[in-house]
Formats: sequence, C-alpha cells, structure tokens
Amino acid sequence: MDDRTIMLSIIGFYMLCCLGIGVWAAKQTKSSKDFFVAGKSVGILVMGFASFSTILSGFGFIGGPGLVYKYGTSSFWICLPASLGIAVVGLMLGKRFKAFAELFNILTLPDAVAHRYNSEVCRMTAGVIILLGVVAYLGTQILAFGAVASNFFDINFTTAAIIGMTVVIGYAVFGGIIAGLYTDVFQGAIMMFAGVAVFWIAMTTVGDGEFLAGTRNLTNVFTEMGQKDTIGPWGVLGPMACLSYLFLFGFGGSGQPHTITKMFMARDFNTVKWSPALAASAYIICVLLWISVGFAMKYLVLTGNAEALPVGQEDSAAPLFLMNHTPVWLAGIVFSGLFAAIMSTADSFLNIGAGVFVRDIPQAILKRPVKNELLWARSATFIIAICATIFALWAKNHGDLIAILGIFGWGLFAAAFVPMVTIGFNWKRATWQGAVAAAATGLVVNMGLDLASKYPREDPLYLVPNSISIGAIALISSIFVMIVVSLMTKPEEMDPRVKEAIEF
Amino acid sequence: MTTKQETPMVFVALFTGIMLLMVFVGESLPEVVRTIIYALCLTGTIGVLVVKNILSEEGSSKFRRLFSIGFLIFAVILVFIILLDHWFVVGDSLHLGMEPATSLLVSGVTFFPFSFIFLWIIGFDRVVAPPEKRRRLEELSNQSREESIDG
Repeated sequence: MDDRTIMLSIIGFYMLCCLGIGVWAAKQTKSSKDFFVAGKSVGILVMGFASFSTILSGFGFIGGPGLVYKYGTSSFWICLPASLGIAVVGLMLGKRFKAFAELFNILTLPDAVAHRYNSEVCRMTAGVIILLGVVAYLGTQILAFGAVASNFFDINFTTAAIIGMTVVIGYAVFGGIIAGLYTDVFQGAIMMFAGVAVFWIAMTTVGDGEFLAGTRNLTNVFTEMGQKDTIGPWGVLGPMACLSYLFLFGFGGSGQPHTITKMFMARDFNTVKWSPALAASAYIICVLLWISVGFAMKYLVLTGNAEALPVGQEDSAAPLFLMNHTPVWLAGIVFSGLFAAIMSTADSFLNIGAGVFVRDIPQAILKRPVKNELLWARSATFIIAICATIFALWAKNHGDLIAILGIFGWGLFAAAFVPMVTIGFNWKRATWQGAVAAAATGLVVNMGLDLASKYPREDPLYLVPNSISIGAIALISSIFVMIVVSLMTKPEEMDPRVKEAIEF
Repeated sequence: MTTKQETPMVFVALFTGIMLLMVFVGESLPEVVRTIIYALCLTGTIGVLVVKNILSEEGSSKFRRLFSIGFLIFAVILVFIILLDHWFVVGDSLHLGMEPATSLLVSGVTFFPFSFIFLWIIGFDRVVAPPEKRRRLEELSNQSREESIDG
C-alpha cells in the first residue's frame, strides 16, 4: 500500500465511524428534548470531551499553527488561557444552568434567556445573534474543510466541501446532539492523540533528535536570525494585544453558545463538578499541536530546511509539516483529527441554529412551540447545512465578505452573551434592557471597528491602536454598557423560581 | 440607584471603563504603566465577577478568600511577565531554553487557572452545591413538574 492509500484508509475509517455513531444516535433520539439537550442525561466523560472538542475548531489545528508561524508567542495568549476560560464557564454557569434546566423546560440558550429576563425581546435578540454567528462560523468551518480536503484528496474545493457536509448532515440530522456529543468524544480522543504525537515530533525535529533541546535550539536560532520578538512573552503583536486576547478568549469563552449550551445537558451535579477539570486538561493536551508546529515550521525555514511560506499562506504551516515530517500513519490520524475538529464544531452549530428556528422564533412570534418539534428540528438542521454550504461556496470568491462575517464569530458571541448570560444569570439586578443594549453594543462595536479598519482600502478610517483585538474591545464595551444600563433601568418582577436558580 | 449590594458591579464597570480608556487614549502613558493598569483591570473584572457570584452562601468565606487570593496571584503573574520582559534582554534563557517571561507565560498562565478548578472541586459539595440546596432544588423541580401536569 502506498502512503496516500494508507492515509485515505485512515480518514475513510474515521468518517465511517462518525456515520456509525450517527446511526446509533438516531435510534436514541425520540424527542426534541433528546435532539437538543440529549435528554439532559450527559455524564462526566461525554460532557468534558464534548466541551473541549467543540471549542477547538479547525482554527485550532490549522489557524493556530499559522498564527504561531506569523506572530510567534502572541498566539499563545489565545490558546493557553483556555484553562482559565473553562474554569470561568464552570464557576459562573455550571450550577446556575443546571438549576435552570431543573426548574424550566429549557432546550436552547434563548429559552433560558427568555426565562431569566421574562422577555421575548431578549429571546429574539439571543436567537438573531446565534443565527448570525452560526452563519459565520459554519461558513468558515466549511471553507476550512474544503481548503484542506481539496489539497489533501486532490479534488476540487466544491466536491471536498460537499463530502464534508454530507458526513456532518449524515449524523447531525438524524442523531441530533446525541450524535454530536458522542462523535465529539471520539473526535476529542483523536485530537488528544494527535496533539501529543505531533508535539513530540515537532520538538524532536527542532531539537535535532533530542526532545528537551527543542526550546533551546528555537531560542538560539530565532535570536541569531534577528527574530527575538517572536519568542518573547508577547510575540510580534505586543503586550496590549496579547492581554486583549487573554480577556477575549479566557473570559469570552463563557459567552460561546455552542459550548455553554452543553451545561443544560448535565445528568447530575457530579457532572457539573468534574467536567471542567476534564475539559481543561484535554484542551491543554490538544493545544500542544497548536504551539509546537508553527514554531517548528518557522525553525525549519530559518535553518534553510524548508521554503518560506508566502505571505497570506501561513495556514499551510500545519499541513506542510504533517506531510513532510511525520510518519504517514500519524499524518493520516492527525488529518482525521483536523477534520474531527472542524466537524465537531460544525455539528454543534447546526444544532443550536436549528433550535433557534424550531423553538425560539416560533415562541417569540407565535407565543407557542411548533407541533412535531423533532421532525422540524431535523428538517431545520438539514436546511441550515445546505444553506451554509451554498453560502460558503458562493462566499469563497468574496474574501472580504468572509472576513467581515468572520467577526461575527467568537467576538460577537462573547460581546453579546457574556453580559446577557454570564453576568445576567449571576446578577439579580441585571435587566432585559441592559442585556439587549449590551448585545447591540457588541454588534455595533464589532462591525463598526472592523469596517473602519478596512475601508477605504488605501486610507482606512480608523485603526485600533497596538493591534488590540476588536472582539476584546466589543466585549469590554458590552460589559460596561450592561452594568450601566441595568443600574439605570428598573428591574422587572422576577419569577420566584428564577430567583431561586440565581441564588442557588 | 445603586445599593451596597451593587458595589462589586460598580467596580466592574469602573474596571472596564478604565480598560477602554487604556485602549483608546492610553498612548500618553508609558507602555509598562499602561499595560500593568490594563492587566490589573482585566483580572479585577474577571475576579470580582467570579468571587461575587460563585460563593455567596454563608460559610463560604474561606473559599471566597482562597478564590480572591488566586485572582490576586494571577494578577501578580501578569504583572511579573510585563516587568520581567523589561528586566531581561530577549534571548536570555533560564528555563528549558525559554526566556524568563516566556517561561512564566507558558507555566503560569496555562497552569495556574487549574487552581480555580481545584478549588471548585474541593468546595463543590461543601459550599458550591451543598446537599441541602440540591434537595431544595429537587423539591422545586418536582413542584414545577406537577404544576405543568395540572396546567
């Protein structure tokens, strides 16, 4: 068997496993409660693995090493504070969401928001923001899958994207979140193995066969080649930008709906207690790939053992390293891990997007749920997947559009849901006006600063100083607005059960 | 109108306000000063929100203190990274070939937050979700279910 056949066999086996889990999960999915929150019966292992593998999207396996290659240690401030982020999610939302899930029939995040603020306006706001984010995130996941798979399988982009989404549709439509959760466990295990194995190989490559010599060689070569900033604590971008990443990715993690929604699914309080520890440990292991491969590729370039990547092509650092410096069987597993990272994030987004269409929009407008929710949920998942694929294929040729939509991702979710959910579910004085104003602020600041920094092309209207992340500015602004507006407005009469849940 | 209960949230608003000032008009301050202020406000925002909300029960003052100390140490780690970066020439290496501030980033920022998770685990049954609160929640949950069946 040649190398290519071995790799294709491993990836094919992985895809079949995902579909197999989908078939099993379809049999377990008997109601919309199963479809959206896995019957609220998820245990420690599944919750822990699903939480971390959902966060670590294709960006972690492809974009992360690319950022290290381009900006050096600056990118560490995105991935390393994940342990802080996961701790904050557990500390601030774990028991609170479990209490809400016990007291109310909650299947989606906007459901919970509507109960908390006793406001359909809040439900609608949360739903719209989720849909905007889902379009952007799914679009970027499909683009990432298409880009990697088309190069890897030597097929055209459209075919690659369609194959990927067909597998995701195959298990997400029928198996709902149960399929998503169990494929996440499988995918998470692959990602952990990939993280450790590639870290070892990258450090051994840089250390000329000696693992522990890796970091010393990196320091020496980067210093000799005049790239000292790259390996300093702030990398190329500087301290203010890095600290902003810490805030956005450390604290902003508690505003990511595809991750925090999983807290509603906990079987018991033991799951709430232990899953953050499992998720944070597993995430840190996976991140080894992120932090090592980009530096290894840069080292190989600086020492003349690899060609420099063209500007704008930094994302190919990880695929190139895997193809040229790892054994073929490992490359096959790691590529499966990469597809796993993309697909595990995509299926979570399909599920929360379907929830908004089937449950939240009808509730907000018609004041009642649709009949036969499960059938509609499956149909909505299918339709969103098809629409997102068509959109991604169309947007592929509109780079700016994807870039603009990209800001609706992590930054928008953080700016909208950290105030509305992380603060609002812990602070009784928070009002629906504060929550809506914070979400609007997040949207406007994200969009406004991004557009101002890009247009007009020759002489942009405004550039944020010190390369500070726009998403972080939006998050800081929205927290400020949430508190000020809430203190200025009169709180609504609170349902006694909501009060109990917040005081729990 | 704010009451004494809202004081922590007023502090959070103040911290985030200062962070915005540092972002947009902080250029007039020296970089080290601006960065330290930003780092302290950042840790203060997260710390106050967590400590205020996670452990409001009576008898949890020990854990509240431990969490507060944890966030204080985290702030000190960030300030040390800022200062060490200025004290050492880039390229100086102490630990596994990394310069001191980078070592502190990799070890401190990555692993110190696990102490919060550790505190969460050891305090969970005692103060985070004690058995009597879980029983009360179960009662309310059963009550809600009965009401929805009756309704």
